Amino acid sequence: MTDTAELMPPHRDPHTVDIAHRALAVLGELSPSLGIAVVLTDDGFEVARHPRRDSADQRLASMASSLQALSEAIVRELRLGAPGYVIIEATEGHVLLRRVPGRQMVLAAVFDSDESVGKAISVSRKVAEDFSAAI
Amino acid sequence: MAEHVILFAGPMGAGKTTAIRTLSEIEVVSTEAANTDRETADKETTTVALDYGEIGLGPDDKVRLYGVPGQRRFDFMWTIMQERAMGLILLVHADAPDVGSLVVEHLREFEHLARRGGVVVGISRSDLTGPQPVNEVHAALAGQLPGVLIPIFTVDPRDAGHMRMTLMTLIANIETRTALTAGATE
Ligand SMILES: Nc1nc2c(ncn2[C@@H]2O[C@H](COP(=O)(O)OP(=O)(O)O)[C@@H](O)[C@H]2O)c(=O)[nH]1
Ligand SMILES: [Mg+2]
Repeated sequence: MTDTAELMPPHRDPHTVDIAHRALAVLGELSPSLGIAVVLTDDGFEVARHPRRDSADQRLASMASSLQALSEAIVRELRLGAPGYVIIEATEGHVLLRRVPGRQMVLAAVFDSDESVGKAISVSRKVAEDFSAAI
Repeated sequence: MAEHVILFAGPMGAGKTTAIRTLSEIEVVSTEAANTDRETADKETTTVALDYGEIGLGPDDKVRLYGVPGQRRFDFMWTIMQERAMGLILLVHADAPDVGSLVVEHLREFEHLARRGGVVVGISRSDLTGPQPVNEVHAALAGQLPGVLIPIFTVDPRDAGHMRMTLMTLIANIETRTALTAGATE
């Protein structure tokens, strides 16, 4: 069987990378308090970043993939059904992680404390869903 | 000693996840993700956070087995996990390009743990290459860490006997060291 996903990982597929950049730009428009947002592969490679930047620093992508995997492991362990999103709240902002539905990719978004958590959750869900549908 | 925390480290594809699955008496906690880096290791999945398993040794001793991701971009997990471990099983696959320097390179990353606790090196996948890598590793370690005694085994992480033997050697190593340190400070 020829699996194109296997031949072309998302972070090296120009089509996927382009759509991911556009999805993150939309997220930025909908959430003025968005700081950094990254689309990453399940195994921690950066697919796209907002604001756009050329850099070898993929630390957020690696850390987000670890946290996403640990969260999903906990949900499995406790038999809690399907995982939704992960929120880290801090005094200066919050971080939201959620799977791109049906894809081996994750959306990680960092908001400053002006953004309400509720809005971050709903906006990120829409962007992740639209992104998945557009690939 | 009631509980030991043992860390499995080493490059991607060395067999850390396999070893923990072989040893563990509980269902392992794993964090495998689809592997998009097939050039480094041609396997379906790769560990992105940790593996966790447990094995009892005798009636009172429980060993907690943690595996870390092999890829360097996850080295923050190396730092976190290193702090809570007391021993290291460093696995390196014999079919890697330069086994000797891989062992030295990874041992350097876990030097803090290596100095504090015990270390055993396991060379895996040597059924695919023949026995030469062990000599290579002895030479590399003797050059890099002269005077430090580190047991080196040829292991198959799929083999429970091999992995138990490796683990027991490490535990004996840690306990000897603990006893010596206690003796020295009395
Ligand atoms: N032939 C052979 N295969 C091995 C040996 N050790 C591990 N493997 C295989 O090599 C792969 C190692 O993968 P994994 O355990 O995920 O490695 P990790 O990245 O260190 O966690 C698995 O497919 C194992 O079945 C060995 O000694 N001989
Ligand atoms: Mg692994």
